[in-house]
Amino acid sequence: MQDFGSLIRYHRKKKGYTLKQVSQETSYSVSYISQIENGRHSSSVVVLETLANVLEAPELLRVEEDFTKIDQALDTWYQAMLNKNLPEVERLAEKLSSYLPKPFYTTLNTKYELYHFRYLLVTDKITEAMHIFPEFKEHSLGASGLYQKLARKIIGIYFVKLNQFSTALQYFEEISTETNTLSQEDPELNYYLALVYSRLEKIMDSIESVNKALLYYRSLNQHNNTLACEVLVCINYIIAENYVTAEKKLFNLLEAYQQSKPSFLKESFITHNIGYVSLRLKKYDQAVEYLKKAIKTKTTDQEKSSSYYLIAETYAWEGYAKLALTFIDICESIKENPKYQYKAFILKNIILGKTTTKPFIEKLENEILPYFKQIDDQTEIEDISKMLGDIYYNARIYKMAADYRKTKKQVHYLENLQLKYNNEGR
Amino acid sequence: MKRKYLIIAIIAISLIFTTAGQATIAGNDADYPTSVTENF
Repeated sequence: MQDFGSLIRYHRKKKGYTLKQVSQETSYSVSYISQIENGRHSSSVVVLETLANVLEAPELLRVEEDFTKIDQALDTWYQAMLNKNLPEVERLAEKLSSYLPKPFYTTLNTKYELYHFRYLLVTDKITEAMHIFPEFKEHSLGASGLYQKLARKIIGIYFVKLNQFSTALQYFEEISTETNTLSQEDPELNYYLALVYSRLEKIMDSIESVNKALLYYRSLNQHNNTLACEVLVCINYIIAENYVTAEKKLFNLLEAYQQSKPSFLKESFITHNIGYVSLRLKKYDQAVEYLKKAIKTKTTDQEKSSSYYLIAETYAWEGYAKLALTFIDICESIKENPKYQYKAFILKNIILGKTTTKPFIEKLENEILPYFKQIDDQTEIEDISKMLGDIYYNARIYKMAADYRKTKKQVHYLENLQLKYNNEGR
Repeated sequence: MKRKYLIIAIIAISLIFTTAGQATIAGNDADYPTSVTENF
């Protein structure tokens, strides 16, 4: 136990003893004591008692007991986070913050730092998480073995929360490409990989990962988690434009949900997506019905804004401009969710036929597109660039149109092509 | 005769470009559940 060793070193230096002096007093060899201090040798109770006596530090005897207790409390805390038992999470957070961080408890401190960051994510304390992120990243990525993997996963989840999916993917992929099989057995990692792939529209990769997670959760009858995975499968059907299957599956899920009422998966994850697929199927009444149901079970404005936006879009497709504009106003007033503030703004200008006006184009180019680039939302970047390309094309400014139209995918293909050519040249 | 085909071709090409020139709204507006349990 490395922590324990550094505590012995601390007490030795406090007494002003050298290793040699302790060795003389205890009759243990210098190298043996040095190994204990460096955590390369665990000490027996007898050795501990001797050292505690010589160094006049009785607290050394209590340390091991304290260590185990805190370590267990940390694990209980983490488990409570995963089970979304928020009162318990908060209770333990307060209790643990009075014990940790503590000097010499290096491994416990590392563990605490990791769990604490995850705690901020679970309890949606994003601003605080952003504040400590640079320091956290530096510390946690320097940790060893398992902790480093956990750190990568937690950092990945942090970027998912910030909607920065490409960055999140980098962290998740770093873990999954490592040879250690343990990472492949973590269904949570597979779920997040599937989520991020889906967000980046890499549907085949998403299917592969979500199936791994599903297999695990189904075999253990974990209903909550299985449902979450199934929702993701349905979303993939929507992205692949297989709307009929998506709709059928989502209704089955809703039925399963209502029978079991899982504790921490919100019904809105199903109802919102039923609304979304209904819109794509042009079943407008059904879309509005389910999106409104989703809003009822959502708790924060930030969560609600995606459903408000889709209601606005539904009314727009139906041709009810006034109704659409009412919901656009709601979206634009929710500052916590800039994505839908901007999407609502774009929809408003489409409805009002103002997409060729200068203020609209300027805001699109100077504010909205940079925002989506900053949060790295590739789908929106592509859509908005395409829209700007179309606007410039219609205005017969072909150079600008071409620049916007060749964003992302085409550039990628071109790079791949050149790479292949170079390889063949060899 | 050649001129006739040329005109048809021009019309076809311009038709393709006008449909591409419409403003579109797409994007991914699904709600993803973001909490599952890991394996210890």
